[in-house]
Amino acid sequence: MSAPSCSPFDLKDYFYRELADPQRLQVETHIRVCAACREELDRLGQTEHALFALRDEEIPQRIGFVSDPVFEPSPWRRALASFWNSGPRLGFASAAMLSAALVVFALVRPAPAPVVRVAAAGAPPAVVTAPAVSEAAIQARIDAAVAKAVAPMEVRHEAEMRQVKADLEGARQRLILAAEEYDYNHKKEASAMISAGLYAPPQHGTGEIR
Amino acid sequence: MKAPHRFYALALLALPLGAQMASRAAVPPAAGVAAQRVSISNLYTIERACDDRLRGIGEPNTVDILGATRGLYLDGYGVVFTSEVGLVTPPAVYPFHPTITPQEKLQVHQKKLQRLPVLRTTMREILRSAASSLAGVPDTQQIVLAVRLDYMKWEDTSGLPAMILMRADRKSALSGDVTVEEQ
Amino acid sequence: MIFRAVEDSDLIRQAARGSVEAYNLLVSRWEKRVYNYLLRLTRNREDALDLTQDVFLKAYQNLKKLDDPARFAPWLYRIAHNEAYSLFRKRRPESDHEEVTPEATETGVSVAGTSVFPIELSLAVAAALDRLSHDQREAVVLKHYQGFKFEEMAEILGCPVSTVKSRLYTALELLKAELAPVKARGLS
Repeated sequence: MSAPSCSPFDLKDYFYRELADPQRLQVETHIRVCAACREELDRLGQTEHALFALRDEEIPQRIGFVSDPVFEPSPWRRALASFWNSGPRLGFASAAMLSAALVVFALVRPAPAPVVRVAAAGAPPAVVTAPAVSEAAIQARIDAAVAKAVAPMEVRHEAEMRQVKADLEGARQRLILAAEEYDYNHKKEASAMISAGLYAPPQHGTGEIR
Repeated sequence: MKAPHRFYALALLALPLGAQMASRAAVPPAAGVAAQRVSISNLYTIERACDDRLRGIGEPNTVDILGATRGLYLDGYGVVFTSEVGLVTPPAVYPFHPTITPQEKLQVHQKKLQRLPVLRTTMREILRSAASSLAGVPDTQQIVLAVRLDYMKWEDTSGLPAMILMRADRKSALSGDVTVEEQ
Repeated sequence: MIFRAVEDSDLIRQAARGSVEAYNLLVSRWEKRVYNYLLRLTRNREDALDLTQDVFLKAYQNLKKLDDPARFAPWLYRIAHNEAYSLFRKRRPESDHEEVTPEATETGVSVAGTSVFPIELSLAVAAALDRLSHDQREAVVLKHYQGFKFEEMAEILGCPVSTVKSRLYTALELLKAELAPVKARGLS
């Protein structure tokens, strides 16, 4: 059956997206009101869909080429190529450089000067404070103390979570097994009814596909 | 690659259950020769015989038919039978037996490996007898039998195919000379 | 897809400079597609495999002639197309078309166990494709299975876009008629 001729442009051009936008829009406007053309497009779509029933096969034998020494690049070129062509290696190198820079910066940075109060003339003697501890050091001590306090709780919490996860996973696996068995039995019963002849064939006609 | 259209599944085959429940609509006798080649009741008889033979691969009630055999005649090509089989009935899961033990998994796997050659032999015999019954099909047309093997997710499927397909033109099928594809 | 095209370009450049390792990686990406293209044309697995090997060997030998690595795919398939046709001419020099009846060929159907399609449909499609002329079948394979644009197909087949379209549209019409939705069994 050939395509209906009422479409403003070839429906196959539309199907394969070969139409420019103005033409495409015209076809789309047309098919909104034309059942025959809509059906034709559906048939083309179904045909394409059917074609995908034919699956690609695995190649029975992989193809490989062996190297010919004449054409091999030199070891130095290979090493260089393998470094520059490798994303992970470049990333690692960048990270290593950054880390080294940070360490160097930390080592050569001058220490902050201690704060010393100087008594003004006539004022009562000021308290000379000892060199102030840095904020960072204070924070570090606080963090350490907190970590020590919560450590046992975290260990317990982790163990509990592991147990909960394991229980959930076990339940999930059992559910999957049960569901699979249910499906299996369902298929088996349905087939058994057919095999037992509970659905008799029609008396006429053929099994022919035209 | 695909055009952005809505696709409808081709009604080439209804669900297995539906296909078997075809109504008994009266059909006027077709004028063409092809219409007389294969009768639906003939196909049905072969289908049921195929089910029985497949079940007989193992001891009683240990091989399951999960998709009753269905046959179709493709005009110009031949007859295709498809079936789905559970080569070994799996162990049941219930409150006192909530999981499948490694030992059971091993037993199922080994049993399936043992039954595989029997399945292949049975399939050849089914093809031979189908070819013999389908006298209306030309010698050059194909008789095909595709058996899908069902596996549970926990199964070890190493060495076991997902499907065995045997085909031959009718003449070759009568002599047991068939092409086998396994995937 | 763009990512992959860039990587393929790198591999092509390296292979053109003599890196067999790069070429093998390139081959591993394309061999299955080329094999299936040739399988649909030849409908014979042995021929398709032999041709695939020849195609990649020829491609390696001529890689330096490829000006634009981005055009690798149509260039490669042009080689494959030519190899297939050389084989056909060797076997049947008097005819351009391979008129083979479905029964006489191995339809090269892959029967994936986990396919969502019924096996009958796969076989019907394979038989319908077999009934097309060689040119029509090739057009369908390049468009629907290999995903090429019309311009690329014209380059591969060495003919104008209008010819490619004509072959494909005719093929689609024929396939549509053959694979039209089927009446359920038992109904007229």
